[in-house]
Amino acid sequence: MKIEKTEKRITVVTDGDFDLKVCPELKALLAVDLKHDRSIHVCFDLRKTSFIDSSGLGLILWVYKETAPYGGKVSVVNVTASAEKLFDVAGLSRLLNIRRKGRERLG
Amino acid sequence: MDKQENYVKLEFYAKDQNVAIARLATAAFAGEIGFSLSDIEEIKVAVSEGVSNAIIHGYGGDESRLVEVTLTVEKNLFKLEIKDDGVGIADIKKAMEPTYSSVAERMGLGFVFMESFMDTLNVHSSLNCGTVLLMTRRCPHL
Repeated sequence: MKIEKTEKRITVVTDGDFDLKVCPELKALLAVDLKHDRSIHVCFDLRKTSFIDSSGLGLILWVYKETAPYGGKVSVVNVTASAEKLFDVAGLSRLLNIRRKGRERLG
Repeated sequence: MDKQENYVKLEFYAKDQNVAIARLATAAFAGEIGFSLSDIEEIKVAVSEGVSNAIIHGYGGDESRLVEVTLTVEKNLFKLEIKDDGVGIADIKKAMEPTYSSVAERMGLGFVFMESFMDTLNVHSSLNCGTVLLMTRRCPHL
């Protein structure tokens, strides 16, 4: 897992499994950053993520809830077809900016 | 015995790192049956949700407790059973509502995914006696 920060953006590159095992630690790390600035853009890059379930989705939704009222933004990029299905079933595709793997930014 | 018939039982501590072990064992079992890669991805989500629920909700983080995952295939039906002896679910119907969760972040999505990715889901639970999740999925025609 790698977290890159710039003034306006936090990029979280999760690797391997984005599940119960990694979520508490990642949440604690992000909570510290979000305490400083809730209007930030948080980008989850799943290019190295082989598995995600409701624990991962729940964490992404938590970031959305923390930032959205303050003008923040959450995007999820490099999502595989099977992970995209989870976002669809959860109804999160409407809330978050989700981009499939291999697709360039839509602008 | 039927060539396809098979049975595997796993028992493990309610530790978060064991979710991945349950997932990998289940994926291997499902692969052996002949499920496609995308089917296996869905089955992995279902087992992950059930085991995560047992750890978080059933045992509330008490890692010394045991979770049991039983995998069976018989008569062209794959059965996945996840059992804990934890606190149980007070109101199963409410717990299965998409927006309900006693741990807010997972927002009750676990049951939604289990229902979406398996053909059937039955929940047996009583307070302080634990929970048994029984899921089935029809095997692919080979």
